[in-house]
Amino acid sequence: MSQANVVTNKHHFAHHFASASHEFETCKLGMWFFLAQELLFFSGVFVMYAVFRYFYPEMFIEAHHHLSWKLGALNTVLLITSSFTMVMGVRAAQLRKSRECFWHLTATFMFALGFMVVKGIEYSAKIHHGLVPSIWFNAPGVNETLPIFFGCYFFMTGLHGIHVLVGMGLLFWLMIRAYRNEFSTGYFTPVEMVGLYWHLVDLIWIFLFPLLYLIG
Amino acid sequence: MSNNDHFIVPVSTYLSTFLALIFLTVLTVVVAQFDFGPFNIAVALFVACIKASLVIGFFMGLHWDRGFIAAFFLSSLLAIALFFLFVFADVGFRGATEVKEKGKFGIKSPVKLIDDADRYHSTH
Repeated sequence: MSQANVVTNKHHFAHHFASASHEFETCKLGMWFFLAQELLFFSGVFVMYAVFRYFYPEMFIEAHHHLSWKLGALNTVLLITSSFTMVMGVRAAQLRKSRECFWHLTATFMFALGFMVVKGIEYSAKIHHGLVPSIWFNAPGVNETLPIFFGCYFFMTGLHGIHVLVGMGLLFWLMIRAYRNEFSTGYFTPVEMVGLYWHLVDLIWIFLFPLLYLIG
Repeated sequence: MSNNDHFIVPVSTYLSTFLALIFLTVLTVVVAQFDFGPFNIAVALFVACIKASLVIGFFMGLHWDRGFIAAFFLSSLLAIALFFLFVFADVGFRGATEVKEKGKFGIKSPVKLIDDADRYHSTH
């Protein structure tokens, strides 16, 4: 490899850092702080779920029969697989394999898209059957507290879905940058940070899946 | 530490983590078909916690990372535990408080403050 090529790929870290490694470690610490905050943010909806489930245990058991565990399990597999392609993408960036990194990121994006498509199918079926929150609930002959479950369902999966959409936007941005060959052994900070975020999105779903689809 | 010192995790580690997660997902679904009564949720959450540990430890790399990051991140779990504790110290014992108030402090004659108030409001 020519000397010129190495120079073009060299990342210039911000002047207030001692080294590129210092910059990377600082970014990562900040990212973990953000992720810890995300956990606290999501803990609010989990507490909400716990309180309602404590108040209406029978209704929650009845309610989960309205959800398809097969679609939920499919989405779990899609997200876990996307997490795997994500780590492979980070690894490819670390090893300076730009093309491989690009394809791993594309795969991650496509699995995320698949997740949202399945989510869309589920949402449209629920809306079609009138299984929606609060005053809009419109399903005949069921438990009168059932709208509370669908309030929980749409709020929890909706908040998670927004995170998936944000993640897809970030992945698309990374795909463009990987395609432009901007990442290398010395600089793969954005790939690593988006990866951490993406795994957290996966992590939240790991808890949502049994709590919403597998009650019994 | 120079830039090139980033620990590169072998593919086999990622692949086995991935397979373990898929296996545990299948396990959660299979286990959900059996009825353990009140332990259903405990079993489901136990498996979910193992899966979460695998994701945090290997995919997010906390296993190889600085102890400070692990300590910080896990301390947020402590905050979440406190959140649950205080909320359930309230909603979990609301009925019990009312029961205690009816027979408290050895009061001989029954005190029916709520009934009197109701009577007052119904006659005025």
